[in-house]
Amino acid sequence: MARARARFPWRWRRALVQLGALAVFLWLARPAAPHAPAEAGWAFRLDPLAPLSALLGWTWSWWLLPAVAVLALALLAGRWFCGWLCPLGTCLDGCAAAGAPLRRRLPPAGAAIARVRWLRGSLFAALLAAALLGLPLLGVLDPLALVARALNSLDPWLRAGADHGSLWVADQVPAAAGASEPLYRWLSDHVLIQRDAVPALALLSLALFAGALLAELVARRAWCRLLCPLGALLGLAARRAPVRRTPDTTCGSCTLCATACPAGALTAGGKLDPAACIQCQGCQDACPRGLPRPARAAGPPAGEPEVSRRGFLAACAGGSAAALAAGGGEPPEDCLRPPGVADEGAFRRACVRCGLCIGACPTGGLQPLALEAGAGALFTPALVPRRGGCEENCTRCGEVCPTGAIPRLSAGQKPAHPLGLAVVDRERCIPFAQKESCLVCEEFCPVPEKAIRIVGRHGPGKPRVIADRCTGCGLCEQHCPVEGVSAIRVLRRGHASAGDD
Amino acid sequence: MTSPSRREFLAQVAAFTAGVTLLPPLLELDRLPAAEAGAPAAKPLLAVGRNADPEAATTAAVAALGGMKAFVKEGQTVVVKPNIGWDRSPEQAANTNPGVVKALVAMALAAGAKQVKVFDRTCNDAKRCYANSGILAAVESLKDPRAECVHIDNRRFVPVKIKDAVAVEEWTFYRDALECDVYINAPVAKHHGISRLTIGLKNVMGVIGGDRGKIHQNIQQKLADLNRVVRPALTVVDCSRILLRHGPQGGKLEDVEKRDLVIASRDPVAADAYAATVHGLKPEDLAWLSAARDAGLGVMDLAQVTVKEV
Repeated sequence: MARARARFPWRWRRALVQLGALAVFLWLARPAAPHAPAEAGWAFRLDPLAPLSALLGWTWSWWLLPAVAVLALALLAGRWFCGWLCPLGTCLDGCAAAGAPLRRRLPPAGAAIARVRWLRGSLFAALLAAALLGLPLLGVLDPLALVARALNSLDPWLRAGADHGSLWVADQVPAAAGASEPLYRWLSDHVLIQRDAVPALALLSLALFAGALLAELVARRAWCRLLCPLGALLGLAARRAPVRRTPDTTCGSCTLCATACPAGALTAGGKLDPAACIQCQGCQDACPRGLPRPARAAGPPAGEPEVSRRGFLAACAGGSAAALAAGGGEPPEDCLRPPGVADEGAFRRACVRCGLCIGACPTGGLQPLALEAGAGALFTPALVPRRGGCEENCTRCGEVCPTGAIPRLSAGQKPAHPLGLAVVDRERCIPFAQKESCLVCEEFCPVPEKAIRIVGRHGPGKPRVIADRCTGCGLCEQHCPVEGVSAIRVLRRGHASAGDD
Repeated sequence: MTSPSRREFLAQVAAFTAGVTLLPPLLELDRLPAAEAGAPAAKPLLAVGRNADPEAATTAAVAALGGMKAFVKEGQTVVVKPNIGWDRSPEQAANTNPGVVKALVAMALAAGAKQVKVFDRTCNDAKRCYANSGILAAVESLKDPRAECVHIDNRRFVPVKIKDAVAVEEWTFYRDALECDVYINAPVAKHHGISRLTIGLKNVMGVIGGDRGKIHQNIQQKLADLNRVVRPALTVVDCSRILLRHGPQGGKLEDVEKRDLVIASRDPVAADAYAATVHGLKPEDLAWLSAARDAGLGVMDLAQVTVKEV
């Protein structure tokens, strides 16, 4: 019995949900969130890679339960998250719609993609094995983190665009300024970032995001099918999901649904691979009889799994070898972790590399690391005091962290968790080297009883750091008026060159 | 560091577009009060309001100078510039007491101001400073659309050449501070590591752009230069609580003493000189104050000032 086609096609329903979810995601991840922006991490609480990272770092937050629910949904009924909620998936679908004419002119790559569909699962296995052996890089390819980091990198340009644009409007069309200025003010206070410095690794962040978009021009959802670790995890869960597309093969000679499937879920021979299906329901739209629908399946899935047992073992071995080759990597003396981070190894494993802390840091001091502290610290946050210190009463990084990698400290707890220790360079410090008064470091020291004392009776007073009061906040380093490298620098505590002053 | 260059660029854009008309009147403005201050015949008047409630003390002190109507005319734009530099609570006395700000804004509104803006270029995160100082809430509690406590808009710093300057020949200033009809300086008097005290003249740091750390070498002369540009019609110094040590940020309540007084004067130098005595210092102890007097910005010798206690 043929059913009538849905009057409101699935692709429209899905587009509405996707755009809504993307809007919520972007709103939550906006950098100008007010004082208690704990909600910034909410989107990542749906990301099953977040609890996985937390578990790898031996931490846990009950706030991650929604992500466990997403995983459970995949175990039960497949990858609805990927098709309907994932912000990167939505960007990719948008890119696919916009780039359709271009893609049609390129040679079809579907078959080639299908041949290398083992890549995603193998990469995931390798990343997992490497993470267990001290090279945690799962988050680098986390699709939500990919979007959040790209947004972080665009923030300063959005700010500059709004600044220049509003001036231009006010200048060219003075009559419009009555409307454009209040809009600018609202954006400035509630949406845009407050600073204009471009974060570190912005180009890499944007390149990863752009790469995923470009791959979309080669084949639909190429990123999701070949690289996405979240797709691999949810696919693994969905492989034996009892509820899946029924019928789980194409019918006879008609392959309209297989052609329409953006995820290549109907593999060679028209058999369904539930791990590939993203539940977009496009097959329902494509089927002249509207046949395929999610339903309780009778037996095991018809299609072949993406990774063979041998391939899986090889990937694990490869990941382990990479981790052993990369080594632990002792962080350099100026690598200052966010307040409260005690165990470097656990921090690296638990950090999902979402960059929310970096966007939320009001001074712009938190920056993603490149390879300064080894490959395993890629995109993890560290304080660069010259860009911005750690404000005394600010606890935003811990509030937004979705995995608990940065602990939630109260402002009162922060002094007990120093980030490092300030050290004066007497060769550069103005009162020492130029015999002129300065004392900006003392002025900015937020410790009420001052961790920097001005001492010396002869000539201008000179700064002296009192080690057991210094919280390593780096506000002194940020504001030091010496050109270039600051004359007062915060170094990791316990490091050989720290603690002599 | 790429940020200053962009900011400067924006400032130049602002100056060359809407701002070209701004600079000539600014220079004229620069001349007027200097001539006034140079006339020794008028003995400056200084009012000291004593009241445990900073709001009442402020109202009384301004009333003693002839009330806000003596400063603000119907339809004028007013800037009230408190010190909101630090992420500190009113009890810690690192920022101007919100009661003082509230009283000034309320009086300016009652005098018929078209618009009253309250702002400061903060040292800590601006949102935290505005909230924790209590000043944002104080202004909002007036529920008047003409009054607003606004965040600094980086587009609005414009370069100004300072006439007769000794140490700073050019710097960027916040346009709103230059363009308003009435500029009311509302500092808090507190300890400062390098200038000993920070009061009204140093409060100008909150309306300048650029790297303010650079001001700290030879700060005495530089403050005098910067104060040639921004000339308050009225200076109101908050001494309701004074921070005696570990300034300008403070943080320890043991360093704070309640004095329950607010100083108001047209003369910015006299106001600071009197505030120095509240801290137990002599005006001559403050090198930046002498430099301001030498620049003709006001009267430092309190014997030459009429003090009115209310």
